[in-house]
Amino acid sequence: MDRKTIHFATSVLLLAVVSLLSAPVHAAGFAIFEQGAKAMGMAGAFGAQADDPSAMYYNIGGLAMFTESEFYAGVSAVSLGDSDFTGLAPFPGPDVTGTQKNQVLFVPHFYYVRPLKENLNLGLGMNAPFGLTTEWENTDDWAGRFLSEKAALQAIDLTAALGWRAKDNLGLSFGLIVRNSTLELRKRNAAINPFTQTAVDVAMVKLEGGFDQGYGFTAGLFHQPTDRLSWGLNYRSQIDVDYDNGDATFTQILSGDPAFDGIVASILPADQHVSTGIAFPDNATLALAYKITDDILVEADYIWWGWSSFESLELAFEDETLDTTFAQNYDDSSTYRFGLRWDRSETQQLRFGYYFEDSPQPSTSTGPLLPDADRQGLTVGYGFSGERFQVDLYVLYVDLSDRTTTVNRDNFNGSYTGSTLLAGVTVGW
Amino acid sequence: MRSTKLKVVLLLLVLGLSLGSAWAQCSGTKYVALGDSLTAGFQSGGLAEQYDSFPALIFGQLDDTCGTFEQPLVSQPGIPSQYHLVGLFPTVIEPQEGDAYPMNAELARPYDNLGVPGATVNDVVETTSGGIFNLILRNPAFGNTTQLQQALSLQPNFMTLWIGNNDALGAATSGMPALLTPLEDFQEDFETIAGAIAASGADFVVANIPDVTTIPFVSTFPSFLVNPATNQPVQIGGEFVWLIGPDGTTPLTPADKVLLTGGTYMALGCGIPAAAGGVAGLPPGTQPACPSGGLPDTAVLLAGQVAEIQARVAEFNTVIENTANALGAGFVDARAILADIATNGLELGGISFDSSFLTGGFFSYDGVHLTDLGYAYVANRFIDEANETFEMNIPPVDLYPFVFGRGAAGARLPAYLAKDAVLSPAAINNVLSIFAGKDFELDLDVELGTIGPRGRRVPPRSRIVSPLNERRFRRYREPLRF
Repeated sequence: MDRKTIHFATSVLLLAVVSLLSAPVHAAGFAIFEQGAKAMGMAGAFGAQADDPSAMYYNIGGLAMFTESEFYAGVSAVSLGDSDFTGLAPFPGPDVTGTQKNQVLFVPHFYYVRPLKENLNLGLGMNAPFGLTTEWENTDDWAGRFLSEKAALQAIDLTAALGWRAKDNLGLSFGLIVRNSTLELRKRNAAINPFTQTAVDVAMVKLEGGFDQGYGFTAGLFHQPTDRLSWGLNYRSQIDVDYDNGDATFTQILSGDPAFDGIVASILPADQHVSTGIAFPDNATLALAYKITDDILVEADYIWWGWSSFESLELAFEDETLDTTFAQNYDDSSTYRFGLRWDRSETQQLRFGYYFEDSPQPSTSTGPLLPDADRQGLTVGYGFSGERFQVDLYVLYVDLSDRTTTVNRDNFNGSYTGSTLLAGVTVGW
Repeated sequence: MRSTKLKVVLLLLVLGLSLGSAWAQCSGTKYVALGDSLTAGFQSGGLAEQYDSFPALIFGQLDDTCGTFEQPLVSQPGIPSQYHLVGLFPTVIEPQEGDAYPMNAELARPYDNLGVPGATVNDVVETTSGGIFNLILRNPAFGNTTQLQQALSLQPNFMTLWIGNNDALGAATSGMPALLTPLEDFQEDFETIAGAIAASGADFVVANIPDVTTIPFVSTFPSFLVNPATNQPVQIGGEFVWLIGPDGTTPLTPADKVLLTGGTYMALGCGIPAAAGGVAGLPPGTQPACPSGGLPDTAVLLAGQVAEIQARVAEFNTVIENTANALGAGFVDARAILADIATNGLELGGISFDSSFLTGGFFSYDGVHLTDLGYAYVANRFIDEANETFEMNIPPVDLYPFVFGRGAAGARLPAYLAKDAVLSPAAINNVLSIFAGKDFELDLDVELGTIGPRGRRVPPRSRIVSPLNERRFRRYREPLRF
């Protein structure tokens, strides 16, 4: 037996598998707009009302208008409905389907405002304005497992702000944001089994970050020119979070052939640190509210998102040969939100809302990691306001447009469908 | 100019017009494929169960067809016997053992897949028998007709034509540019073929010839010595140790290509300088396999030969593309497609394929012909072109079954590896013999109706003999290694 030629063949295998182990792992940011039950009863069209402490999110300009201390705390339950994938030829083909795990995520929010002195208010907030979990069922068979089995992103903002009531009907506010975020990605790697000349699973790759921080600011304006008319402007800056201390683990999946498995084992990267970063987009809100009658108020908000910040995701491993950059190339996008508030009595409100938004995701990036789509939502809300406390409730149904991509950058094409049901409660006191 | 049309007319008279007229009445697509081994579905050194040949895959995507798509199906392990990978340590690739039989030889009309392994452009218009042609053309039963005549006798309204590879690749895989077909001959024959198809009124798509440097048979081995322990180039005094060429003294350069067959010789020390442990530089005849001590010229393509072949292929491709354009045929740029696979690979849902030998998933064990996935990918390129040129709206072939293997959920090793593999001496040179076309002895005594029902194995009527192989391998008592 000739060692030179054998080793040559071995090196061919090594090269092939090394390149596969650095194959795509990527993530996308995803906004969560459900940060207060009152606002969400009106589909989030709240920037020109901003009259509870969730103004810290919807329009910080409203912070300036408080005259008493208030707490406002609650949670949204996000239940992913049936979210399915059906493939298209040439790959992975019409016989391939996939289903995301049904799961319920809880997204909390907490706000506190208090007057510091006349015309100057302090606001503190904690909420989760970005996050996502995309996890696919039956990962042994899921055709997209070499792109993503699971992607989970959490971002928790701590916001501290000052609001200045410049006039009785005009507020200006500014706040600083510390964003704490963590990221988890899990996928498999494939190699060509030389005995079958077909693809087999050879490794599970998991990237897990700790919590890392990024910093930004927010500024807003609230103005009520007449008893019936109010409007607002809010801006929240882009925040870059660098995940510096992620852990990458590589776990081999045996093929059953000792020689092939030995080669894979010999070139499987060691577990090591990995770093990456996400540029969360900035956004700007223009909000307008009008009281049609003494009991009925309508509001329309336009929200612009600077998703073009999400150009790429760069993974930097300790072993630099594994480094990879994945283009995301998101586009800026728009959301349109419409709400109606009906004051049934001094203490009770009924709320209704509708919104629609364009997906910032280009079809080239629509894939198993984050299949985003245009969406629209319908909401109903209820509020009770007593002497000492208030309770707000909402239910929101979100329908994702069917999204078919034939230009996915990984040549993984097909149609994604999905819907989400959310419900939330916030209590103020 | 050959009297091709006259021959077609005579053929139809011989066969009787009933066959043709039956198909002529069909309003759907009557598809016939004309070509060489790539059209035949040749893979890993043999022709076996060609259900996934690219023409068969294209036919499977057509929705309104005239009858079935008939191929010269061969049972496992194929004619010639297909290779399998016996082991990785050492890396041994061998023909499988066993006899293969034609499974569709009783078909009473020409096959719809008229790809003949080894066929050149001239064979398509001239050759009626010999070697593997006997398996596919089955003359004299069909009036001693050629591939082209049999194809047109089926009255197709849609055809694919991928021919010319053997006019160039034989020169590459044998390291002998002298085997290149002269340009004038190529042009005359190709224009005859394409002209006859166009004159028949059929829509057709042609493909051109790949660059030889993009196939693993040519691209796998570097021209310098690699240290087996580190997998890095061996350096002596800071210099690479270049392998020695056919004259026994001249070192190869990066532009020289060591063919896949060179691995066998390197295993014997050929081409490796004596200072690095080989026989190059030792007295002539030390190693009978390479009397000069260098790699034999059949295992090397020197830079000048590469350039010569590339230049001729470029001329052939100009003829192919110009002819296709002039006749309104679709044109598949196979050269560009395979160059793209070699350079950029193919990403399918996080799985990477490329032109690497053994591990690339696109080329089969012979280093020249494609895997099922490779053929399926090529089928889609023909479909794209047919759709664009003829507004045919054929859906693409689903690649999924070929990525993971048919019926494989997490494909596992094939069962035969668990058994005791019997090693036989014939090996990779079957590829060479298949490029020799007619010179490859295939003594099949085929008579219509005598082979037995389709798909049923019947006793072998003859054995496959390849004196070329026997001669070449009698010297080596051990299996091939790469």
